[in-house]
Amino acid sequence: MKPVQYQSCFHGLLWFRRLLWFRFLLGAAILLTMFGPVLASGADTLDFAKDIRPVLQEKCFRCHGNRVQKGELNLQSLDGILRGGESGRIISAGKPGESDFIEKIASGEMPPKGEGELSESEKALLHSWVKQGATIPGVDWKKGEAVTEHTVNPILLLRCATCHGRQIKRGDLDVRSVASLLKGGKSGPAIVPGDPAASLLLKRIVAEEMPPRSDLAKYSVKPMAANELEVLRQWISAGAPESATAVATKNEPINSYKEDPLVTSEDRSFWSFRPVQSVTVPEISSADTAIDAFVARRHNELGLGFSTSANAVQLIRRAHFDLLGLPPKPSDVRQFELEFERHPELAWTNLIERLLASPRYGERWGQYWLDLAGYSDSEGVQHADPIRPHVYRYRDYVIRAFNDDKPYNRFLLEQLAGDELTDYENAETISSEVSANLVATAFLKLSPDGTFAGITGFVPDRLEAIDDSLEVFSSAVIGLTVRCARCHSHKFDPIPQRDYYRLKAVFKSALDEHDWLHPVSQSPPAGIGIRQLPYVTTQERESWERHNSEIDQQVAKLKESKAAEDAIKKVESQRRPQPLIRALWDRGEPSPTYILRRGSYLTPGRIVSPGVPSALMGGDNSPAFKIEAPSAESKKTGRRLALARWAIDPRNPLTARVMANRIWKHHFGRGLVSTLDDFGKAGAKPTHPELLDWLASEFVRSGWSVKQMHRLMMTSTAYRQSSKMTAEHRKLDSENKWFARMPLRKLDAESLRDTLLTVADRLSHTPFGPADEVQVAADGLITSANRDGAWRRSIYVLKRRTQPLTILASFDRPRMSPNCISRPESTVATQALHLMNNKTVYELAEAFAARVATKESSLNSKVRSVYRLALSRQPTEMEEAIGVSQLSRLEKLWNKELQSKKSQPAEASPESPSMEATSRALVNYCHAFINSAAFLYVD
Amino acid sequence: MSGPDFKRGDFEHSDSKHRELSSMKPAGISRRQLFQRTSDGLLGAAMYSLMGSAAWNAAAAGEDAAPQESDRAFDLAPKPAHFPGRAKSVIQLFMNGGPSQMDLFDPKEELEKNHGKSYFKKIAGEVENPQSAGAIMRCPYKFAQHGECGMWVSDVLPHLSNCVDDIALIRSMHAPNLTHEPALYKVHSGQMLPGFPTLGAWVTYALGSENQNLPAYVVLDDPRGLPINRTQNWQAGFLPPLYQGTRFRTQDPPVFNLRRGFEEPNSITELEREIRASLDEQHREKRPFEQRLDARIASYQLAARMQLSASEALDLKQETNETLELYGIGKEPTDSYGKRCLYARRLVERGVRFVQLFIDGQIFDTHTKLQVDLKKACDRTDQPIAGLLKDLKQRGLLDSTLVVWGGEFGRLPIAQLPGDKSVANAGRDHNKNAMVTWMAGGGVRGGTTFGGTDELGMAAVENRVSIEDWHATILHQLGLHHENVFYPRNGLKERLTGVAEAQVIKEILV
Repeated sequence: MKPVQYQSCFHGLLWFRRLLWFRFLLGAAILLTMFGPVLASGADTLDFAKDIRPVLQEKCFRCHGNRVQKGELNLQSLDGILRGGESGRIISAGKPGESDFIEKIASGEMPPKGEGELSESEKALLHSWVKQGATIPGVDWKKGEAVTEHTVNPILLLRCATCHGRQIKRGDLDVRSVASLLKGGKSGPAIVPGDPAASLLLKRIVAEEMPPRSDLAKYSVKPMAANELEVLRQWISAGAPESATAVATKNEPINSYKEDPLVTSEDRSFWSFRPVQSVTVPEISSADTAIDAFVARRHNELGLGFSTSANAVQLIRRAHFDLLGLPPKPSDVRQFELEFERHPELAWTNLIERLLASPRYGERWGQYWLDLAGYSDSEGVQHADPIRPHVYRYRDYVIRAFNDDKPYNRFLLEQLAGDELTDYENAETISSEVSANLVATAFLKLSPDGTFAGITGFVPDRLEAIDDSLEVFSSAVIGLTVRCARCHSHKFDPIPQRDYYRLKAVFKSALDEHDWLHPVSQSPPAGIGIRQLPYVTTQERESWERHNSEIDQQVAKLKESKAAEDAIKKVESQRRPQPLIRALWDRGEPSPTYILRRGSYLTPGRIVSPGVPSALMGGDNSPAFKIEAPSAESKKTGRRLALARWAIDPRNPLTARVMANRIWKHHFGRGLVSTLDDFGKAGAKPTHPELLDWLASEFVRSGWSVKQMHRLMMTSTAYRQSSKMTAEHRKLDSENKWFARMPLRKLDAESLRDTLLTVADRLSHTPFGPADEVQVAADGLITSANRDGAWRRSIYVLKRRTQPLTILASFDRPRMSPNCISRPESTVATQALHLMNNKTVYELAEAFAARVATKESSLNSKVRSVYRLALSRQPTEMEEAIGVSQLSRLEKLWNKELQSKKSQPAEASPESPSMEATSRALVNYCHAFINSAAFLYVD
Repeated sequence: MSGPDFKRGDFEHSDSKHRELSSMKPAGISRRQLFQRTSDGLLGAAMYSLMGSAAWNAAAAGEDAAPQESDRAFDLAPKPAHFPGRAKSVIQLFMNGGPSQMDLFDPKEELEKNHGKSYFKKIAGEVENPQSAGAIMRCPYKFAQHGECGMWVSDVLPHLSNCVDDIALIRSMHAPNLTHEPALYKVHSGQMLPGFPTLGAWVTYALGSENQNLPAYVVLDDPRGLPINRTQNWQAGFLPPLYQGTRFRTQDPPVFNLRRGFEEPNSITELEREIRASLDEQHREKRPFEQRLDARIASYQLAARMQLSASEALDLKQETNETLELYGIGKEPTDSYGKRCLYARRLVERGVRFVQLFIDGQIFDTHTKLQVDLKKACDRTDQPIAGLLKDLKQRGLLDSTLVVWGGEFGRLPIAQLPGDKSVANAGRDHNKNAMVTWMAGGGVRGGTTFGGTDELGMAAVENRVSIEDWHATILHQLGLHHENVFYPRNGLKERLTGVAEAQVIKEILV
């Protein structure tokens, strides 16, 4: 992605500017002016063994030696000094200004703070040594890195493999291996080892016949750069050597993580990288549940205590919004109040069971998961923003999985590697289970993807899409960010750059930037496949085929009877498109994965094998990562299946903790680890580490049942507390870290919209299927389409990236980039404006008022009804009195306004308002309620 | 060379600065933690300069916690800058489509000399539409030097030619992509993908607003249509949506839902408001320590104020005929853009932090008929922009307002031929290797021409300026250091300039 072509010659200039402007080069500036010239001109030639190595030994070897090699740098071996680190050479002999080694030292970046500092004279010494030519006996700096198959392979993949590779073999040529280059295509061998001039490959490129200029944009290919051509020439001159060692390691998984110079055992001892500990529940007599015991222990230490229990109405509202994202029906509230009075415990557990069994539950908890997955109904990136017509199947899959309480380990297994669980290609019938397994894999293909267009479909664009998939996996499943390691080793966490590319290699057989599939079915370039599969259930397929063949028959009949064109067209338009699944699947034959130096696709480094972050491996109790191809003859690799099994291995230290913490956050408003998105070193430490591990263990023990976690959490005293914040809370725990109360919670965007519709009785509970369309009004406001005056829940509204529903966007439904682990909460004027002035909201207030008015006649009963419907409770006597007076004032004012506008019918006097005045007054009263804080915040 | 505050501490007594500032660390954060957090920035010392700033305090809040921004309350109250900035507000004049550098600001004799010669093969990899690529094409307009500074400007910009002593021209910018969508994302958000906060969002996140009756970040898009990437040109990305740009439509009402979408007498609205306030008061009384409820009540109050202020801010009846004429308002083709420029002045006058202007239909995207169409585009914008600069200056607002002009990339020295291959109707295709932009006001040294391109204007070669440098410079003029305006997310410190190195273009600053 970096503009390299024109930049290289300015490197020196840029470096000079950097020197001038950046504070971090302060040290270098001083050195250059004070010591540099003196030493460089006056001192004797420095001796590596005597002068330099001792400094390196004292200050550098601890992290860059034979035992530990941070950033893949080993300064203890001569070869290591010559080779450099993960980004290549670090010393440019004679040119300290171009040596990373000197720059990092001068800037103070190395050695890291607290790891032993270099004195000014030592810095000057190293600077002079490099300036003198970095002389080391036995090291020849001039010797270039040998050109091997693996120097050449990335170039050929990048520039040629689109049309001479896996999917397309123009002229029968395949450039992906030395053997196939030697074999060549229709015009003969592509290369003649030792004779570049006779090699067709070079000839065609030099003559600018290849790649053909007219196809560049269409196939997202760029011509070969001069330096790349030179490498190719050198390689052919050298006899086109194959690289035996590298080939051998191409597809081999990493099996031993024990000896790893890049990640130390100290790195692995970080709390979240250690296995989940088995903990005993503290013995606290006052605590009702295990959760309460853990929470109470901290309370006792801090001088806090549980708040009193919330009342029945507060509890049923809390439970409803928590589990369903919807308010309770007034009749359910009355029923619960009665039961709660008689048997509070029984009433509460029954309520929880009833809600967990509701089909609305999956629509609430499914949305949390869709945020993590980055679900969107369109591709984004370009203006066209094409719709993903089949992706709704994934949304439905997630909702069903939560409703069925699909074990979380199974849920992950299907989403990470559902395609590898069955041999769907050879199955006689496709069952709903097999089909669902494929649907689930869309999890890794939900992020923005501009590769549907040639001009945004180049290799770097594809790498962005792949990076997003890795990010979704790592942030959602294991609570870590690995993407920093795309360009350099992670700054905080022990994730070397190598580990990022190992993970990338795991996905390579499905997401290969050199063997790319188009994300949408619209017009891929000739020869390029699409990322959709036809394996819907046999039942659905047959029904589709039946339908279309009926249409065919009708059309044939009409044609026979020489019917009008229009009539034929009308019937033909009823033909249905083929049902497809947006999926990710193992395609076999992955291209090799190279570390990209500084993350640039133009500077590939060494080859890596598929693997998982080694910081989580190597202990005696580490999760297993074992790649097994489904069968010996299969082309498929089994890589993602290995990753999935590794992720759900109960010994994986992160998976269960991350999910348990997330469920806790959605119930209690704050995670035990407050950084939901980061369980690494830059994240927050858990406030209750033992509780977190206890919950994680219980989660696994319960068979990874999410519903069981709800039961555990919701039956605790902690969950049933009042949300009232006291002066003591404010003083001791304003953030509610210690859970001595429940937080007051604002409805999120979807809950707010769905609640508005519920109160107005305009919510349709029709589940599943293609998303409801959105409309862009003349003023730019984006609204959703309704059917017969009713709208479906927000989860079913089309999530097009360029057309976010205005009400959801105003209330903090974020853009997915690529996903969202934790939504921000804002309170801004545009939200107020929307609820106050928006026409649809007002119409919902009218519908709400109509519900009240048809049932109730007196002012008192109207006020009570509004409270019951909007807030699930009866007003207090005082509230009722205030409400009656407010409603009556509204009626009188309306009467006056209406009278002043037109001559009123005789029956209306100022004392007895007209029908219109009373009904319009009630609308305003209801409108005020849905604008009130009590409506928006849940106790 | 400017930025003395930034420079002084850097090059002289680093150690003493270290010590002095380390005593200013916020409570609740240990020295070790501080270093742990600063070690990802390239530097220890520079971090200290933002110790007093909101961004840092936000990041450093909590003891054992790395920042979790979603727990924070966000607002638009004014925040201190990292160092005293020259500009208080920014007006971004975005020239949709990619204005042609060699036909407006960067004269190239070699184009004239080599007109008609083939050049395509040398730059094939840089051409978006190879099938329509033609030969080298000269500039159809005349260039002349203007102002005391003698800046070269072509004759399609007669009004701006009178303002050159106030503008600093950058002829050596380059973009990372030659397709509109990613290139626009890059200019506005620093990344080539959707979902990242835009420049305006970052600025309001860092500095808040001087006016609590109006949005901090206002977008004036063209009533004739949304630009490419639509509303994503002013999104907040992962920042709280509070920082996203608010579209002030130049028709009424200027903000979504600003007016009632239904009929109702004002007295009724007033009474309903009173009832709601009373409900909120009853609710609030029972929850005396919940400050979030105050914030919500305040948001309703701001909404009410905005209903008045927003319309007032856009009320051009308050302007004299002379002013309207200055902007070309009331005549074609300048009326529409002239109004937006005048709105921009009225908004920054009222303390709005960031105003972003768009034009519909990619008017600078001159693939064909360059001679006619580029002039048309200039005719629509030249007088309004010059009017804005003059008006800001005469009101003493130019010193504190940074005006930035530019598109998403530049154009090629070769012709792009239309379907009939007629050279007379030729245009120029996209070019990411060279683009021209300018800045004025807000501490910019007027009359400067900075950087240069190669002989044909194909690529920036002298003093190349990246989008990151350009962003860093804009932030710098507001008193912000680009490395220190960040938002913690997924364990990263997200920044406008990302992980790329960026340098403030000091040569164009006072």
